[in-house]
This record gives sequence, C-alpha cells and structure tokens, in this order.
Amino acid sequence: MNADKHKNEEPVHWEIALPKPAALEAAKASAPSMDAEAFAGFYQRTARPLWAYLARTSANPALAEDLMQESFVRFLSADRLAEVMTAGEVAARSYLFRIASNLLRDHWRRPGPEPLDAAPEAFFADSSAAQASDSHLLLGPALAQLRPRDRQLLWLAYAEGYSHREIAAITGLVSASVRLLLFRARRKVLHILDEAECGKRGKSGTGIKPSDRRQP
Amino acid sequence: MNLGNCTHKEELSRILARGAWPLAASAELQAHVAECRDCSARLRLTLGLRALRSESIAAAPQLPPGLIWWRAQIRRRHEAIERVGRPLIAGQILALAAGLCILCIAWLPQRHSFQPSSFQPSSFSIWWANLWSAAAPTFGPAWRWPLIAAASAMLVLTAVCLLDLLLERASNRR
Repeated sequence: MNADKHKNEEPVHWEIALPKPAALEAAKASAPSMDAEAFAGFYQRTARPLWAYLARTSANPALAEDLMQESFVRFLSADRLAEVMTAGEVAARSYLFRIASNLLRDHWRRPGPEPLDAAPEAFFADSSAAQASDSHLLLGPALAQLRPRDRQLLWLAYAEGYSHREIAAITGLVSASVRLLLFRARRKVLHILDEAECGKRGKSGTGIKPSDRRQP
Repeated sequence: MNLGNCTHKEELSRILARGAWPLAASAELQAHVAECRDCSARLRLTLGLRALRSESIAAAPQLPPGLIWWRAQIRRRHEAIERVGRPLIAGQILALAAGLCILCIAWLPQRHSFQPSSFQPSSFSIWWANLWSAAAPTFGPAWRWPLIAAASAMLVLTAVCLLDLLLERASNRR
C-alpha cells in the first residue's frame, strides 16, 4: 500500500530540496506592479502638472524638480501601488500628489537656509504672457506673497480642480478644515489682487475699483 | 461667517471643471457672475490659476522616465534586501547578549574579590586560575579544552558582532 501511495508522487530533485537564497525570493517579491511602458505613459501625463504644483507651491523650481523625481520613485516603490493602480489613474494621480505633498511638508519642517534663487517669477513667464489678462499677470506675484499652505490649497482647488475631500486626502487635513482654510486663502489672495489692481489703476487714473462691485 | 454658499456655485463649478466657460454658461449665469462677488472671485481664481498652470507646465523640465524607473527598481531591491537582513541583525544582537551573559556569569562569583582600584595584570591571571579551578569539578578535565574553545569562540563572535553593528551605524549616518 505504501508503495502505491508513493508511486504517483513526483521525485524530489536535490536542487529544489535546497532552500533558495532568501534575497532572491525577496527581490522577486519586490518586483513593481507597473511595467516600464505603463509607467512611461503615466509619467508623460502627470510629471509636468506635478512639477507645476510643486514649483508654484514651494516657489522654488529646483526644489520642485528634486521633489518630483523623489515623488515618482516613492510612488513606484510603494507597497500599495498595485491597489492604487487597480483603483484607476485618477486615484493614482491623487496618490502621487499626496506623496509630493508629504515631501513638501517634510521639506518645510526641515530647518535650512533660504535658497538664493527662490520665487523667480520670470522663470515661469513665456512669450504668450503679453496676451494674458492683467489679473493673470498679477496672480503669480500675489501667490508668492501667501504662505506655502495657502498656495498649496489654492492650487489644488482651482488649478487642479480637486474637491475638498480630495484635497483633505492629499494634504492630510480634515475636510472641514480644508473648507475654512481655503476660504481664508482665497480672501487673502483676492485682497492682494485688489490692492495690486487698485495701485495699477491709481497710476493710470481710470477704472472702477473692485470693492464697488455689487454683493448678493 | 459666510463661507461662500451662492446658489449658482455648483453650476459654475461644473462649467469651470469642464473648461467650458463662457461658452456653456447661460446668459443668466453670466449676468449673475458679473454681479456676485463670490462667483466672480471663483471665476477669477480658477481662470487665473489655470493659466498659471499652463505656463508652469510649458516651463516644466523634460526628464526621461527610464531614469526614474531604474532608480525605483534599485530602491525596491535595497529595501527587500534590508528586510531579509533584519533577522540576521537580530541573531547578531542575540549572540552579543549571550556573550555578555556568559561573561557576567563567569565574573559574578569573583566579584567580591575584585577591587578596581587595585587591578593589576597579575590579578587577571589569578582570576582566570580561580575560574579554571571553579569549573574543573563541574565539567571534569576532559571538557576543559572544548569549554575553552567554545568560550573563546563566543568572545570572538561577540567582538565581531559589536564591530559589525558599529560599522553599520557609521555607514547609516553617512
């Protein structure tokens, strides 16, 4: 009976009887859930908007480039990458922005000297700036006068179009706090814009002050 | 405090999200936005920040995705190898602790006769002779040399573990 029992079993070769190197097994387990081609496509679609977010929030294009690279490396190295990719590209993009926001926050918390070339508005100007509206031209310098947290919230809400809940997930804030902080940031930047426009029109001597606009 | 709860807010947000302002906006909505402070602020900020976004995207640096891909691969591999190495480090710490325990056990019976202020090289040989004679009745003469070899190996292993940990800490700090 025992001979019949063992008859159908496959013979055990000595190679597989030896334990495989643990490092190789771990390396196999660490293979990314996204292939190079899929990543290249995702990168093409999200790298520039991510850089724009980091550059405008930190007011430092060089830092934005470093943080952008680190964000993508951490995104690919994340253990929950497979879960994020299953949820879709919108969720993956939101997760990427969350990683970038955490890196920004770590940077702000780290004490260090101020960079010499921070907030270079001229870096962002292009040849089509002459066709832009006055408000748009004033908005860049107005953003630079805000705190980094205010810039971050305004950018995520208005430039990227995220909802309060999505902004809360990205920044780690409570959704109710996002609404209040966003309101305050909006009020501040509009105040700065109004003052700038008043100053500009005061020089030219024409135009209606924004404060004269009717309220509901 | 009014946090901006205009009734046309949702409609305006939907049109702005589609990027369809002002083409998709009715005349009524456009007239309202011209008069409503909240809606006009929302419109002004959305259009302005999106224009800034387009500018920034145009100025963004072009980096090859392959470089980032390989950096991530290398990092994942390093993390995986570190995870594998953790049990080895735990074993080293255990060996170090065992070595220190053996030293303590060997030293404890002799502590009453040990005077730090009067320590001399000859004191060490006296201590060793006492330890030897104390072990002899327990283990017998045949076990002396294997015991010496085992104790020596444990001491060497302890020293190697300590050195390895110190070097690893120094490299992590760098």
